[in-house]
Amino acid sequence: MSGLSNRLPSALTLHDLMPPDPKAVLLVGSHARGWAHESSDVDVIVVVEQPISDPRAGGIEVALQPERVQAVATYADDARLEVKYWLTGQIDQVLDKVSWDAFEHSDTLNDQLDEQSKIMLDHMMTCVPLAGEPWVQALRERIRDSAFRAFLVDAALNRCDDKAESALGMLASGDPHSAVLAAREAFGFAIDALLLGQGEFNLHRKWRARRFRELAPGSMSYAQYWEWETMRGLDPEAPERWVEAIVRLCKNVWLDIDV
Amino acid sequence: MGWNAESIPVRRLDIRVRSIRGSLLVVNHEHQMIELADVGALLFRSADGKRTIGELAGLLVAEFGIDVESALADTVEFMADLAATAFIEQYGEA
Repeated sequence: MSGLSNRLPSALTLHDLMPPDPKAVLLVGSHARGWAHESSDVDVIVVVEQPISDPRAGGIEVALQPERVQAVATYADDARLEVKYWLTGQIDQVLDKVSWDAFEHSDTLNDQLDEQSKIMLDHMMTCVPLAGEPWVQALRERIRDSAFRAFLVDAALNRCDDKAESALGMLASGDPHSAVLAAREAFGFAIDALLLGQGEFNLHRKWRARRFRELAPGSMSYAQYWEWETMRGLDPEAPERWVEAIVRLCKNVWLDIDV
Repeated sequence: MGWNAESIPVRRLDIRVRSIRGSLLVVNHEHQMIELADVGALLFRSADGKRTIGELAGLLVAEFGIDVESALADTVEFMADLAATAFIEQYGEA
């Protein structure tokens, strides 16, 4: 934490962003991960039992009841500060949707969760609690016991398989350039699956290299990962070999992941 | 193509595999699914296009204490079955 994030509790009070009796107040996102840069927003989640009454509050749509997560954005110390107010009842609904029973009986994670809910669960696992740490620890235990990780891993592996098979089909039909792009996408999903398998739920592509370096998942070294990620072995005159090699790697990524 | 101790099996690229609590669920391009555990999972995981059937049988001997002759016969039969149902192929066959 640095700058505004260090002074958050007083900044939240100063800007009238702190409701009475929150269950938890959490610094989330890049500042909580230590990944922030100069222009990073400061993101906060406040967990409350009841909706707040703040005329500034907008709503972010979620597939829950109520159908919106209240949010207020403002500027403090020249940094953009965004506070989302999640209700405990909404969080309970999210966890119900990623039960093991749901995993065994539903098709995909997207049938179950909207993007905001996925991001919220990731944030809960990686936040810095400013208040309500015991509540956060109990919630993390519930998330670890849920099928959230399994849903994410399965989704990433499915997308990896889809793209890898497309790449092979494109090669077979004499379209190697499209095959390169499809194989490149397959590789991205394969790495996501590896990282998710390690319990890293952050889904932003911009952080992929950073996440890989920190977790060193599976049997691939960072140097190998970076060589594939930057497409260093691709011969523009003969891309077929690169496509076949990366597709084989992608199709074998399950060897390092137990769903 | 027949299977023997020198054959090199490799998992096909058009299959999908998930490892769930130690067992493998494998689906082929015709959407037929098999579940593999223990011996079958070990052989399938190890069919990497580098090891021969004889070497794979050696894994069974080491891991499960099966005698060499039975391990070889079982591995040949297992790989032949998986090839017939489009889960495995011989290296270089694609």
